[in-house]
Amino acid sequence: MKKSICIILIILLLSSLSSCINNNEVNTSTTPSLDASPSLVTDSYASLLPTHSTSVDRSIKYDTEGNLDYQAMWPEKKMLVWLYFDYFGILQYINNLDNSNPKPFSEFYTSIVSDELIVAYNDYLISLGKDYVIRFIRQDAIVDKIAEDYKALGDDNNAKQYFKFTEIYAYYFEFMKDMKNSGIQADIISSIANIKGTFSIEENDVTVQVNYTAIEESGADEINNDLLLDITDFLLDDEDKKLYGLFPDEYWSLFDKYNGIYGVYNNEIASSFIFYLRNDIINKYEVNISELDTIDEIDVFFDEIFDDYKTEITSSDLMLIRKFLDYSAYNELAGIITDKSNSTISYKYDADNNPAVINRFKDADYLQINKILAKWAARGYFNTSIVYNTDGSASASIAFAPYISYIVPGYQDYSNDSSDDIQYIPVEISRYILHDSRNKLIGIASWTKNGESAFDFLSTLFTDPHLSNLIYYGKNYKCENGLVKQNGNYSTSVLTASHMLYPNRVGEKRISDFKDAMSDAYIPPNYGFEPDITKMEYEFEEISRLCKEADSLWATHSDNFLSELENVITQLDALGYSRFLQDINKQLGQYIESKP
Amino acid sequence: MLLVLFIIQFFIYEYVNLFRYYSPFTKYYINYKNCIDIVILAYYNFLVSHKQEDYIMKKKKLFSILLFFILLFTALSVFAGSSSFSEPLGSGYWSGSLSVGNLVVTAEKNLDPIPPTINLSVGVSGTVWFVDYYGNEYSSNYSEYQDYVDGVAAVLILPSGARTFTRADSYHYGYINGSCDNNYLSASN
Repeated sequence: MKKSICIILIILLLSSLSSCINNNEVNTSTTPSLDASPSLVTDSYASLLPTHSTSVDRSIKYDTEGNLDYQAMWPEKKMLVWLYFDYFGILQYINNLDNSNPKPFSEFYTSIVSDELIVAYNDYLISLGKDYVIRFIRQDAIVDKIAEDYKALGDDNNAKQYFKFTEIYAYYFEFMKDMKNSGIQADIISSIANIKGTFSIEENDVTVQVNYTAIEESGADEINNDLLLDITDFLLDDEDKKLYGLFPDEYWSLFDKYNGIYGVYNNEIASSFIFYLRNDIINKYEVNISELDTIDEIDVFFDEIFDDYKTEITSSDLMLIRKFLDYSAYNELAGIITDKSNSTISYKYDADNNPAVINRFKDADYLQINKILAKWAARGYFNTSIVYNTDGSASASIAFAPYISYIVPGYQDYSNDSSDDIQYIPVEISRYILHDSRNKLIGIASWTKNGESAFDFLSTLFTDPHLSNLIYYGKNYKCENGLVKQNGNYSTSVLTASHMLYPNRVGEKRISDFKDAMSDAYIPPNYGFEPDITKMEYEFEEISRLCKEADSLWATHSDNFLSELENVITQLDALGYSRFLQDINKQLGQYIESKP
Repeated sequence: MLLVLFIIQFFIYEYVNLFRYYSPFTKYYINYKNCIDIVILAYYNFLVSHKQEDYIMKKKKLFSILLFFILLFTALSVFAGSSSFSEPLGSGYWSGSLSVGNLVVTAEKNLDPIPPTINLSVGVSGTVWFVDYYGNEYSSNYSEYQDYVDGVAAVLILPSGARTFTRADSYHYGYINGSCDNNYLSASN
């Protein structure tokens, strides 16, 4: 018995050590197995799963310069070149240049796509009957100029900060232009994701925070500079419409402003709001979680259990529901969509199912959902999770305090990393909402000489889960019941179709449901519409401040939410808010009329 | 022995964070000059000074070494993505770690000085990256520097509206009695 326990413990400890080694970001040279055969995939919903043909074990052939020899590995197969930018890897290398003894790129950098992975990837493509293989561009082709210019900044630390957070992305763009001008082969292009944030600089011994937006709209520069190919004809070709048919027609309208379709926005496509409830609570109260699929139902359930937890809520940091959303995001549950770039404007379908701009603060559904939130806030359901957002100061407890439930706008299981136990059970509380974020564009190089093959690959990438999971989880990933029990490599997400990735947590969405979700996706009333306020003369700063204040009233003035809201509405009216919304509504009408 | 180790690891995993973050020997405060909520903890647990008796220091030293290895093992095995270092520094050792979880990023710096020790300083700074539900990426920086403590931890909390932390990096600075060093770590979730 003791021996058995010891053996089990040894296995547990070794597996624990093994996982920690895998998780480390330290650059270590490893020699993984050459087994390129994908693991058996078992998923009860097999419609989207590939039929794997087993790849053979074989050694990798290198050319005289030590590079993977594509010709020798896949003779007589066409080679497609895929351009991408490994920002995080290159940033780490740049940081290394500040050391007293910096390592050269070849020693420092480990590619996010190893040679073993490339072999597995391409062997899989061949097994699908493709006549091409993929060559991923080596990052050392891009990094030399970046390193040279970074070193030239010397000890100017402020300039280095600007360089690392805002300027570094332009090198990828210039690299693509140089390739095109020189006629160097490129076929697939991954654009850099939208990115913004803050960094700090020193001015007169004072630390100053700098807000930056490095990429406002992924792929826009590539499209506007003719680096991407219009794939409309390929998409609408009757011989292969599976990529076009994968998404609702509205999705493709995101490209309307460009007069052509220049790739696929890899923007998570669509998601529904999810209510997660802790499993022990479900068992304790014998809850049928599928019935808690509206805010009203959840409210009734909280009413039932509140008495059992109110002492704990008051005396400790327990949250009945943790706030993960922005204040106004809950309104989407009532079909009220607030513009992401301009929080003063909201949209809703009217009684005739036509998109319309609304004054959300006077909308009955808005009032109903905010009244419920105010009640939850007044009773302390959110506890410190709204306090720290309201007054701008975090509570130390928020990072570690327990919470019974939470609502998020997409599957995201926040269960403890190290436990196999199911901790939170999800239920969808809205339809799938189609995302209109123009982000992570993947397209075809305008100067490709392999347009048909490149499109075939693009179509395969977005419809075949194995390609994305292979890159994200590695060649030995194992999918069981639609779940991969290991961590992926986020840096590879530029090479994946996000909706094709298997989840790695129990409480997350299975991709096999994706097709069903797409057929019934909710199209937001403002989908693809971009309001233009540049020629309008309103006090936008004050209107925006008041709108944000109104949206947070359920948390900041939960006891007298309605009267405070009336005050804000009065102030907004005085600023011509209603007239402003009418102006935007006209623009929306014109946009809808202009759509084909 | 293995059973004991396993139990220790389990205990540490379950309770170490709460113990450390609520310990009366630590202090925390909110640093809101950053755009992301950050909780800074400074460790006084093993604060040493030249006035303390050697035998007390030896006991603390043993305990701190033990704790270090337990924490190192625990941190490496528990967190989704982590990296760490431990190196000699002046009259002692220094260590640092960076872990990236879905909701929290923790960057820690610890000094383990051999007495007599008069001056200690630690600093940790870096950048965290996170994504929203549309794949948009965001970055935010953090920094903290403290004198006369033997450790600081920056605990960064995922902002509302964001989905998960994806990556982080950290610069660590340590100073023990006239000797100083820097180190850089990065980790992904």
